[in-house]
Amino acid sequence: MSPVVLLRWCLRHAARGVTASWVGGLAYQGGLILLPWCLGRALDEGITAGDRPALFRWAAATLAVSAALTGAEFAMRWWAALAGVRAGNALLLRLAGRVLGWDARTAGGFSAGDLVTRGTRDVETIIVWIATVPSLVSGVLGLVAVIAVVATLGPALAAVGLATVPLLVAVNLWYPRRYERANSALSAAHSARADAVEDLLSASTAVRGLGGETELVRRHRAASDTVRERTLALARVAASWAAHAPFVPWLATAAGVGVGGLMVLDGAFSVGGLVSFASWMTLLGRQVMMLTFRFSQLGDAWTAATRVGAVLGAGAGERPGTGRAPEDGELAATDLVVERPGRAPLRLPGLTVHSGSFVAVVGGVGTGKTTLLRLLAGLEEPSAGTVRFGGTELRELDPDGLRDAITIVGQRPLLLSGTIAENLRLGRDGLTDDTLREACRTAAVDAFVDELPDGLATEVGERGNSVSGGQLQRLALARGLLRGARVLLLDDVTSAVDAATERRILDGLRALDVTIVFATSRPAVAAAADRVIDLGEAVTTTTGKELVSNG
Amino acid sequence: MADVRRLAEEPDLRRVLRRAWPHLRAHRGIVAAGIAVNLVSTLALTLVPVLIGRAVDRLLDHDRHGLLVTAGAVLGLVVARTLLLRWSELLLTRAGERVVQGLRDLVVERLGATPLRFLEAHRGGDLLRRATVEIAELATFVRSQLPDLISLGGYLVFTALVLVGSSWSLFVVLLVVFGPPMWWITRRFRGAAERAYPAEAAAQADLAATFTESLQAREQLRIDGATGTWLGRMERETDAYLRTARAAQRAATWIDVTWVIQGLTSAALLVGGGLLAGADLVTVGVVVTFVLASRDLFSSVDDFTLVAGEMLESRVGLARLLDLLEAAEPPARVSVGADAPRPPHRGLVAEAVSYAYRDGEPVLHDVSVSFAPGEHAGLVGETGSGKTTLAKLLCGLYRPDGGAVRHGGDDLAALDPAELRRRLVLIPQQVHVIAGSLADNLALTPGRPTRAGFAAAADRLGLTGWVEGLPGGFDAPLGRRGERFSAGERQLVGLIRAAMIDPDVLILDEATADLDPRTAHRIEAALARLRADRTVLVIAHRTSTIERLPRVVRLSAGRVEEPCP
Repeated sequence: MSPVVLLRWCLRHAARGVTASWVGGLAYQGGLILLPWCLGRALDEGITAGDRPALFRWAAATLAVSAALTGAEFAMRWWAALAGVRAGNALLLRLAGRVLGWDARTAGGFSAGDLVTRGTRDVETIIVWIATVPSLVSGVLGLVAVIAVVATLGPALAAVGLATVPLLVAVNLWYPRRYERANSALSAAHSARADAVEDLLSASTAVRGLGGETELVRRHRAASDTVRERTLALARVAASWAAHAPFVPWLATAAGVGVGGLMVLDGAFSVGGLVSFASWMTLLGRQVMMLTFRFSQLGDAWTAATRVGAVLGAGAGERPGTGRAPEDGELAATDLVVERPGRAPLRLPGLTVHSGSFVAVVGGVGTGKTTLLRLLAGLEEPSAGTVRFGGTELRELDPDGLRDAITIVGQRPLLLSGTIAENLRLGRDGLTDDTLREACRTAAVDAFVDELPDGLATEVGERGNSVSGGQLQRLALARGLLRGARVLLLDDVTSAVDAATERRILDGLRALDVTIVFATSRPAVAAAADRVIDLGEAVTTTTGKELVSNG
Repeated sequence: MADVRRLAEEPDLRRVLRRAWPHLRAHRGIVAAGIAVNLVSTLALTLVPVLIGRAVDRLLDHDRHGLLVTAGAVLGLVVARTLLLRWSELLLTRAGERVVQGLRDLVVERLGATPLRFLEAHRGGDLLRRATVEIAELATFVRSQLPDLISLGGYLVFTALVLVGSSWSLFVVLLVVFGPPMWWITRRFRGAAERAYPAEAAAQADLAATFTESLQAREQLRIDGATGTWLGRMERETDAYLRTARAAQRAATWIDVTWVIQGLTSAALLVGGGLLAGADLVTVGVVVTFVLASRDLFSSVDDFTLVAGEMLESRVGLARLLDLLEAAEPPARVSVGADAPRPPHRGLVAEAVSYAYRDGEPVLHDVSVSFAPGEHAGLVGETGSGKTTLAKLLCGLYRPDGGAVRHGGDDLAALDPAELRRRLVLIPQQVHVIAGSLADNLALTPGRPTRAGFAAAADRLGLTGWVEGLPGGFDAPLGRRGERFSAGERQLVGLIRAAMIDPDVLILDEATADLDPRTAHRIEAALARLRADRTVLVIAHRTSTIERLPRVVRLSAGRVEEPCP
């Protein structure tokens, strides 16, 4: 999705707030222009001429304009800021919805740290930009109005005021593109660094148990050095921009004092007019500074929108099937071949799993047990061969229906932050606590849950802390059972449980009237199955051997 | 659970700058230089209205030459200001980036050395956000807001000095009409902001953590058909964020009210100046200087309040960072007195070790067990009996709440981290894989191993054939999250890492559970064989693995049941 389309979408979402804020911004600019005029009149009619009633009148006018500015500024800020947050929230939800809909291949194209940066830093940049759109638009109009007002002061001052315009345009053409380039280089460096931090945070036991974290810290330092270099590169552009942008109106003020002063001496102009002119030039300087800052924010937002747009655009090629998944049926795979980037393609034997049967899949390391299960679940698509459920190819079935019919419990299950009950229900609010307990019983995790201080209502962390590997597997199994699917694909879910518990789980599974495909390296599972499919010896022991199916 | 200090959602905001000072001290030279240049450039800006006032007086005196000289001086100031401004921004950015880089490197160093429990006890998204986005925000603050703050502060001081010099009576008018109400409003604003901004930051952090979690949970949520539920949860959190943002905007309303005070001040200056000029006590030029300078002063005070508001937000960020730095500080090593009796046992000993993840719910009770050098033993028990916790305690990744773990007579809590890992190594079931090649991943081992080291380690485990079968051998890419390798192959990566180092004690926590039985046996035997006096502890459920071990220690509900012969 292009940045223009994305930013326009955000603006449409914030349209009402942005419009309200813009009206406030117009009033604000009007007040800012009126104020120097009131001051100039007070000086000329009140002070230089010594007319007290006129002095009081213009002083009161100054006060009135200022009071109006309070309301105008409030309107400009309040609606813009909240519109920004609303649109940002909508964008984040859209982003999350998109990412959650991805298939495995699309997700593999982004690293975790990078996606987090796009969802946080980049979305925040866009929020800030939306909040500044009204002041950008009203600021441009204000700038034009100031130049117009200055032009009424006389041809010489008008010439000074107008001469600033091309210079200002030149400054604003020169810097933004350079700024944007330096800024997107910096964003990339921040992302790379975020990846390094993410690695360190998720490395936990595996790397720490070995003392390998020092290497990760060293890698982070290299990423951090790149961030510094690019920050300084950006600073060089930004500092020149910040210094040169207000230079032009200041130059005009100096020239105006000379030119306007000579006009006053010739009787063609007044002291109050000169003060108004100087105030307007200062206002012009502030406006230009504000506008260049707004343009740089637009540059930031453009960079951010490009990066967010890439996420929203990814996976556009996914075309989910629409066929209705049958409630039950035979699961059949034929001639499956999976391309693995950089490795020889994996060929898997054909298999047919009848409804209600229990099939164990065994095989050495790297023979494709997990891959086979993921193919059977439709989480991945084979590069050749087909998987059919009830006679229809999986890719032709509507994904939601497919997931209701076939469910998979992974080798490395995941608990989400929340209570155990929330983790088991995952939105199926119709499930009663008794149903949850029943599933826990089958998964042999009931005793564990009962012993917890708050039972099913116990909070578990994102990393499933205080839940052991085996308990995690069994909670995930209970969750899988609660899906009520006709086909259960289990990926070595007893690899971290003791033999007695394994026995109980197998008995519970056998008692269910569902189809089970169980990838395992445990003999007890294979013994309990109706049929065993062997994917062959491990590549660690033999290489190049033909795969055998002894189903 | 004595082990870990939790991070505060809304951390202590008191004395933030003083707490941050130790991190700034090293860079004070360049910071001072940046501030000095910035102040000189601000001074140039301050003098512009004074010169314009002078020009007006020259005008009223009909002094053509004086007018042109003054206009020329304004021009000189403008040029000087531009050059100095650029220079000062560069200096300040360089200084700020040094400070921020020091902080972010320190945070990562601390996160690398912090107890494992600390990482496990926090949401990854929250830690990641504090260590990345919030540091980037701090960098932005240092890069842009801090220079603004300094020049605005300098501007206010310089302007005050210049105005006092021009007319003290008009300055008193300015001070009385403008000062007290402005002070009152600023106070109200700060009070409101201190409540509202941290709450907004916390709501935003929650939302970011949930978003981060949804990236990890993507596939799980799809499988469970729970994507909608999850998005519902995110939607509730976005609503909470909007509520807190509204409160923060309400607090900022106080800033808008300053316009009324500015209007009042302008009116007072006009009236007061008019009366004084009428009595010939001040020149019209001085009134012009006051009117022009006060307009700049107002907008500067306005900006100052705004930047100060942003600084409050940055202060919250800095406080959250300092909180993280303080919380993640590695715990002090337990000091061992010189005269402390050193138990004679040379092996690995747990003495009455207890441990709890949550207060009052110990998972290990007074566990005492010892392993001699060279001993091979299994640690078994039902899932949830505390085996993994004991393994983490035995290799010093956790610190016991009660009791002690000793190796060679030394308390593990007293060893420095490098020495600890030289002696004891734990290989868990789940191997962490980083983006990159097999070699990149094998390099995550202390001692900067070389290619030859990888090959030798693979050879010792009989995995040379496996490595050769990979495309590119050691250069084989594993994919971003290791998805090109199966769970079993990832375990092989972890085991080769283990074979590259030479610890006294090796603990394998289901480290071969994802391998087929035959490969698992071969590797376990090879690892044990590498050194005769190596203690090897194996946690396993696989019956065949346990049966081959000479000694088995059984854990049951957090207690050692009985040592089986």
